Amino acid sequence: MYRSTLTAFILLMCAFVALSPAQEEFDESFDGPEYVFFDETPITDLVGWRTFYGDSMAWADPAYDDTHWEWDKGSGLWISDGGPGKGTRWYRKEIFFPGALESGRSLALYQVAAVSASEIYWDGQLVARNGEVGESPADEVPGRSGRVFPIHRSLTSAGRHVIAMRMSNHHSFSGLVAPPVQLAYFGVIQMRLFRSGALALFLAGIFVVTAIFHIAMLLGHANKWPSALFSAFCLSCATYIVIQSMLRYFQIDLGYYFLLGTLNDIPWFFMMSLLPIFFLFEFSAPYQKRLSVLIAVMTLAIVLMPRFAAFGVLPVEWLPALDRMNRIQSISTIVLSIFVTVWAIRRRRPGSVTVLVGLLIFLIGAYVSYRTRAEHGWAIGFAFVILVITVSLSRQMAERNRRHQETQLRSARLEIELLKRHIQPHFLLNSLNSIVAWLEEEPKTAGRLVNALADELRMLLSFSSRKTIKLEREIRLCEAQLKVMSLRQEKRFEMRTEGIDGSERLPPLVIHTLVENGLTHGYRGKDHGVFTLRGGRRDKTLTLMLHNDSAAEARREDFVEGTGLRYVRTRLEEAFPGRWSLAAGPVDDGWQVTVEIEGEGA
Amino acid sequence: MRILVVEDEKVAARRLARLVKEVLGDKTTTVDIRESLEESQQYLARHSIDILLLDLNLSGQNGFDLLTRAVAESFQTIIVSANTDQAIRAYEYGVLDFVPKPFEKERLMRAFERLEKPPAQPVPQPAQVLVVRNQGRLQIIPVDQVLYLQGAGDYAEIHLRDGGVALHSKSLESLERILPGRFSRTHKSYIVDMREVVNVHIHGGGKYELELRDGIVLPLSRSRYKELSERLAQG
Repeated sequence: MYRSTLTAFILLMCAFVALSPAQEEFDESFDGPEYVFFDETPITDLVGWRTFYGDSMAWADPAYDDTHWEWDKGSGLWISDGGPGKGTRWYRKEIFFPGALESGRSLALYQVAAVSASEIYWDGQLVARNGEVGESPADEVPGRSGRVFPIHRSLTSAGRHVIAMRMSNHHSFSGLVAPPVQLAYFGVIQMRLFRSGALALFLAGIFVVTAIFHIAMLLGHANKWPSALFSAFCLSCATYIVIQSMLRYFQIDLGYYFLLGTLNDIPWFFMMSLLPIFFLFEFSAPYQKRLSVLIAVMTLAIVLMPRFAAFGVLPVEWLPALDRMNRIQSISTIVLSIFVTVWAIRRRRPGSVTVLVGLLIFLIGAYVSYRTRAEHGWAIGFAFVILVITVSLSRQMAERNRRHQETQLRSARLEIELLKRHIQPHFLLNSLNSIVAWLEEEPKTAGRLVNALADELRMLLSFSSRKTIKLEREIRLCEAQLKVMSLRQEKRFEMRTEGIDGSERLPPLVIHTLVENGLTHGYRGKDHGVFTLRGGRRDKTLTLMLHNDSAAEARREDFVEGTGLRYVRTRLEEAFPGRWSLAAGPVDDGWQVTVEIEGEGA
Repeated sequence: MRILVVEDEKVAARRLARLVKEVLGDKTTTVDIRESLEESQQYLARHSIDILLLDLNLSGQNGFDLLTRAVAESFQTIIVSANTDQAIRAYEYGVLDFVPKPFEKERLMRAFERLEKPPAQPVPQPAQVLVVRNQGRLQIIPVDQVLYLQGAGDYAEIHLRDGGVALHSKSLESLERILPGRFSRTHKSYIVDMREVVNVHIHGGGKYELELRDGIVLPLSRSRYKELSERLAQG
């Protein structure tokens, strides 16, 4: 079931990648000015440029005929547009203002990042200079990212305008050009920058605080994996958004821009891979290690492949498709996490429903922000998801604490109960009574009984506080018990083992309690009793079967859930939580109890 | 005296039987041993006995099953058990004594003394309930509901406060040894809850009568008269 659903999921993701829409292509047949309405679109992305490799100051002239220039494909990288990663290049675009600007306001150009150096000409006049455009690395001085260039009101009258950009790229690799510039009222751009920067820092704060919280949760926690993975995930989110903000708002030297952007692949890789891996561990899903490696490898491939293509290791033509795959990865990560969570819900794992609701909301949000290119959309979504997960984890932690305390109390109580059960007055006093009786009849037998009893008491005292003991010690204890009972009842009880190597581990007195149950319930009117302990391991499951050849009439009695069995169940749960089973019932020639323990430690 | 020992550990059972014979000496008629409840029930169906010596923890079977049935019978029951935590309940059900294991001969002797002599002092741990067999079913009557008991041959009629009457298989002598001190043998055929007595009537010719709260009048033996009149005068 799990495997087939997993396969279906992988196929679905492949289909999703294949069918996802390519980035909007610009209509190449479109020719003429782009109309700009500031009251409809406060910030206009200037896309759809004519471009030409080379350099001539004549190209700044608005009257220049650029109809033979190529359309910019807008992939974001020069190299993927078929050009060299370095060199000098011009862009030209015609815009049209249908009316006059609002009085007292002026426009500005916002350049997120471009190539190392650029100049912008507005109707032939230089309005922006970012670094020094040059023919060679020696001539060029890199500019800075995230620059805002105001344009004098006198240049922005109603009607047609031509924007020409002269760009050189020697210090940076390839150069980012999508979108090259945005046009808006100066105040609008400033407000947008302020809001985005504040939001980014706010989100980074949430990620860092949550990471610290989960690191704190690591202390004194038995299973450290989920918390460790989750804090790593939060720290990756924080790092990613901080680097992203630096690129956009901190005016980074454009010579390092591409390098820093590439560096941000590292936190991105961790964000994309750690979230589903976290869920695998948090909900103790099967194949968690193998699946984690698979997720990590796939994510790494998806993150690295566009870079390989950009550096020419993979064919450059693959770049748009690889980029697309990279962009929809945040959605696939969430879908994978949802898949794990749905599985967890079916297994009734605590907190899984809350997490699923959070993830579904994020999935919708991520898709919307992917389609609308909303700023920080995914980060807001991730912040929401981590808050939901934190709430869910805290509730689970509270629940676990409660259960842990309960278990501790219960095992303390059980230990007392156990000592009472075995060294309690009734057992001891009956044995003493038998010793007195034997002393009068056969002092030698009395001596043997005293020794057997002493052996058993010594072993009981040394085991009872252990969580697990080796099966060979448990068997020796059972043999001592059977010897005591044989002497007391003048019957012959013996213990046999088949397929046991003795190194198996079990909570103490489990077999002993089952043997004692057999003794009390099964041997009225029989003088000989054989207890057979059979064992075996298959895959990772340890199976132990305790059989006794008790009297037929005794087996008619119902199998009572006395304190003995309650003890056995609680100790098994304490030592192997959730991965043991116990079944008991009559078999042809007696009574059989079967204990199965999955996984390691047994 | 006919005695049944119910004990599942053979060596312990042999010792108990041996000690019983030593303590009772010539008075012993039979001492038989049974290992389980089923066996002892079969035995009791066919034999009548005077004393049952019962281990309350009979290999996981609930010894109280047998105990409840046993105390309804004519014989007296003595528990011989290591489960001292059950002693109080056993006494409440009206066992004659509870001998904790392991025990010495002297302790067993004391238990049998309770059987022999009428109690000079109130019963130390008296019964709180009387178990009677009513049309084959066991009925548990709290001692608080008992007004007086009247001997009827080997049986005893239990007269209750609500006017009801139940029949107990034990004789008045046996019941006298397990009932609380407020019950007094006022006559060879009567045991009365003395708290219920309101008056003593003296008739001519050495005839005495007790009047109980509800106007019930019962005969009072001469030997008990003097002692009782003093007690009533004080009270």
